[in-house]
Order: sequence, then structure tokens, then C-alpha cells
Amino acid sequence: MSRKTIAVDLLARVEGEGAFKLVVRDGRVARAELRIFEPPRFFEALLRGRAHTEAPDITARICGICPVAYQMSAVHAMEAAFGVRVDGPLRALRRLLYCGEWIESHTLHVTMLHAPDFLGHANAFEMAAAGHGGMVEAALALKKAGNAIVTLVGGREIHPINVRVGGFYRLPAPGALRELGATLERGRDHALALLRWVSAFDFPDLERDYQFVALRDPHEYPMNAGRVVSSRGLDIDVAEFPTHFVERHVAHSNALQGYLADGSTYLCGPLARYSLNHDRLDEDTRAEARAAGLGTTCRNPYRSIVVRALEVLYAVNEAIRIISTYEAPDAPAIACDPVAGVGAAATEAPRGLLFHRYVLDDRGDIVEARIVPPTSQNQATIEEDLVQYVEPILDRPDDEIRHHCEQTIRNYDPCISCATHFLDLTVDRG
Amino acid sequence: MAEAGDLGVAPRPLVIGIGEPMRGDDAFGRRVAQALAAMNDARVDVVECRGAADALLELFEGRDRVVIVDACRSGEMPGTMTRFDATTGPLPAVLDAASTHGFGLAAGIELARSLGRLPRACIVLAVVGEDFGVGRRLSPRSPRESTNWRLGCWPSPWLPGPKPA
Repeated sequence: MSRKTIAVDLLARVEGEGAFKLVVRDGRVARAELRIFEPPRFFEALLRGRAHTEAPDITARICGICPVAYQMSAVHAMEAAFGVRVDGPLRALRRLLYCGEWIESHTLHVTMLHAPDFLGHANAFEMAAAGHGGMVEAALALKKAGNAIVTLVGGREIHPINVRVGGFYRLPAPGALRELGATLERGRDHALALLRWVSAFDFPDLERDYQFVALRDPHEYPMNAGRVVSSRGLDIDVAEFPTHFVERHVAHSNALQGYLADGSTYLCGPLARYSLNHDRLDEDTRAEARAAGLGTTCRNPYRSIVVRALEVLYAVNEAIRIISTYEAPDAPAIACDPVAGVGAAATEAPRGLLFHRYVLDDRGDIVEARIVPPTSQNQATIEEDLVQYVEPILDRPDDEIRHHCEQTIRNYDPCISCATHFLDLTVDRG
Repeated sequence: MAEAGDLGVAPRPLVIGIGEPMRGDDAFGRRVAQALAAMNDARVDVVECRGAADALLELFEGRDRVVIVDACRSGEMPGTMTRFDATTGPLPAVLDAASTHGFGLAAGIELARSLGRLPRACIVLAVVGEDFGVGRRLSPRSPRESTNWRLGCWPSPWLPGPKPA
């Protein structure tokens, strides 16, 4: 009997600490385990008894890469509980802040973490030294532009401090916004160059019939709002999320794994967002998608790098649009009087749908909290991908299999710190 | 005290204190930077930084002499300081552990080297920490209580050093 185990004991170029184990029996992958051993951080328990006003700043600490997503899901959930709707320029500023996070997060992953896989380099600096220095410089400038948005609107670059339930603590100065607009105009050329660079990579010809799940808004490419929809007909209000989605604990991971209530796996993140919302992109971005070789949907996970680069271009253009049409509101926030109730919201973090739900007492203190991050939701699908993509290459050397597994996992830009609220690879061939 | 991104380009030597202020001995680099800043010595610029690679590249802009102070984990005694000349080769892996996506100090140095943006002189002082727990203070055996960094390991004659205790 042929038995083999291939293990990666610590995954590189991902956020957080995790590992991967493949168990092979009789020439087939018997089991693929994405092992998230970063300890659970108990944020949901930590939130109990805290004021609703503290949730944006506490949950932002879950992740240094996507704190804006946590802040946005938290404030929208609180406002839903209080029956408050934040609209107009304050809503636009929130979308601008989210654009900054997409630009920062996607650019870091596309250029510094994922691109070396496609170009045969061990890391970004080896890639830069091998003739791609200009693209790395462009990416650094682009990420800096994203940082500038988050700093200006969010108050600081990492773990922003300017977001509050009802709006912001302080509005950005008009002059600083104009200056930011000029920076982003220069960033547009870098974003276009990044998209054209990655679209020329060689991609494995592999597709899966994913069940995509993302937000969908009547008018815009989703960031802060929308209904939860799937590629198989689901179309629900965000408040119904707990009825249709479940989380399970598995022995090999400290992170819960997300499933639909019928037990099926699903995929959230850039591929899902793009495939379910292609018609919500502006015509210029759709044209760039076509030029980059993307159809109206994308089911090849290796092409996720192209979709991320497209979303960077979209976010830069959207940020420029928001700044050029912005008119300062009368006040940085609207009043939110606490009432007892339940509030739920989901927003589109760079890695996918991020769901928050809070039960509040009549003082607005948190009685119960539930947070479902995108990497948790994608874990089971990542394991399925590994089985499907690795099985045909099991006759190759373990090192080659190991690299292929890591690249496949990086397709998802997994954020293990979020999921544990990730990679060692182990292949067990018996 | 400036934060990363606050400083303009200047020809003076730059000391970068790296660390996370709320994680015990990881704050050591920041404490050194704070002590130097308190001296108000106009011959040197001092900055604190979390140590992300892209932030370091920004700080290197226009500088030809940089000293980086950071805490690390290793099998050596807490408080032990090692001096690395980053212009001669890559840093050991222990100096890249505590960063987002593993894209921290060592990656920043190598990225700068590959892009031709590494300062002409770039010294890294790595100090072995003991307790990196969330919300912890510098540990009793931390270099704060040691005189090593003050007396024995100051990196270069071109950098004005802190006064002995």
C-alpha cells in the first residue's frame, strides 16, 4: 500500500501562523488539512459587557491588514440595531476609507507575496533583483497612496482611530483631500501597470465550480453594503446570515470553518465579488478586465491575482471619484441613541465577506457578539482545492508538491490572524 | 518623537527604533529611540517604527547612515546584543518573525538592497528579549536594565551615543 504524508510546518507569505498536511493513500489524497494553530483570541467573548462605542476600536485589533473592514462591519451592525442610516458624504468617506484598505492589502499581496510564485522566485526581493524592480517600486508607491487614504480618513495608517458609530470623530481637511486626490491620480498609472503585469503571467488551466458568496448592491461594486447573494440563487438580507450559514469546529484547526446550512462549501473574496458583481463595475474597469483576459466571471483561483489587481485599479478610480465629488457634511457624525436590540451587518473585506452581529442591552452595551471573518469561511474550500489540484501531481517530488500547495493556499491571501480570532505543510504518504 | 512617515529627508544619521509598544520586550527598540530623542541632539534624527518593510524603505529615502534597533528571540541570554552590518549580507531569520505577512525588517533590508536603496551604512542592533506577551511591560532582565547597549555596543563613531548611566 502506498502511504505518504507531506507537511509544511510553517506557511510563509501569509498572515498569521498555520500549517498544512496532506495524507496520501494508494495514490490518492485521502485528506487535506489546513491547520490553523495560531491560538484563538476570544474577541467575541472580550466584547461582552463593553459599550457599543468600543466595538469599532476593539474589533479593529483583530487584524493589522484589514482593520477598516472590522470597523465598518461593527459600526454598520450597531447602526442597524439603533435604526440609524448613515448616508451622503459620511457614507462616501467610509467608502473612501475602504478603498484605501483594498489598495494597501491587495497591493501588498499581489506584488510582495503572490507574484513571486508565478515568476519562479522565492520572495519579492529576489524578484526585484531579477528585473522586476520597477514594478516593485510602483507597487510601493501604490501602497503608500492607500496608506495615505487610511491615514487621512482613519486618523492613522494601522488600526485607524477616527471611525465611530454614526460617522467619524473628525472630518478630513478639504485641502488634504485635494492633495490626496493628486496622489491618487499618479497612483492610477501604477495600478494600471500592475494589472497589465500580472495579467501576462502563466496560469494553470484549472477551474472549479465554486459556490460564490458576496454582497451585492443595487448600484455599486460592493464594499460597505448590499444583500448576501450566491452564484446558486441565494439572495438574503444580511440579518438572515445566521439562518443560512453555519460554522463548525474541526480538530485540526483553531479557526471555525464556514459552511452553508445544507453543509455545502462556498467561496467568498475577490473571485466571488467580481463574478457576482461584474455588472456593477464602471465601463472603463470592465474594459480593463477584458484586456486582462477576464470574462464576466472567473473560476480559476490562480487568476485571483488578476482580479485583485483589477480591484486595486477600481479602488483608485473610486477614491478619485469620491474625492472629486465630496462636499463636507455639517457634522462628522450623526447622533445614535442606544436602544436594546439586535444589529447585523456584513461588508467586503479585501479577503471577502465579514459578518458582525451584536445583541445590545438598553444602554447599548454588548450582550452577545458574533464575528465571521472571510478566511474562516474559505477554509473548507481551500482544503477542497488542495485535494483537486495536488492529486494529479502526486508522483512529483515532495518539494514540488509543497510549493504547489503553498501557491494554491496563497491564491486566497488567507489571514490566519483573522481566522483565529497559518503554513507548515505535511504530506503523509504512509 | 517622530513616527515613521513624519520625517523629511535630511543628511543626518537616522536611528530607527522598531517594536510594538504593547508587547513586552518588543518595545525595546522604541525605548532606545525615546531615550535618544530625549537627549535633543541635533546631530542625529530619531524615529519609532513598527517595522513593516515598506515603511522602512520610506525611512531610508535620502539617508546614507542608518542604525536600526530591534528586539529579537534567540537561544541567547535576554539582554544580549548583537551588531549586524546589513550592507554585508542578509540578516538572520530571527529578525523577521514579528511582522505582518512576514514582511518586516529582514525583508525590508533585502528589498532595499535589491532596489539599490539600502543606505551606505546600515547597522542593525538586535537585542534578545525575554517576554513578548501582549500588554506586558519590559521584562526585569530586559536590556532596559542592562548597561550593554549604553556602554559596549554602540555602533559607530559617526553616531553620538547615549551617555553612560
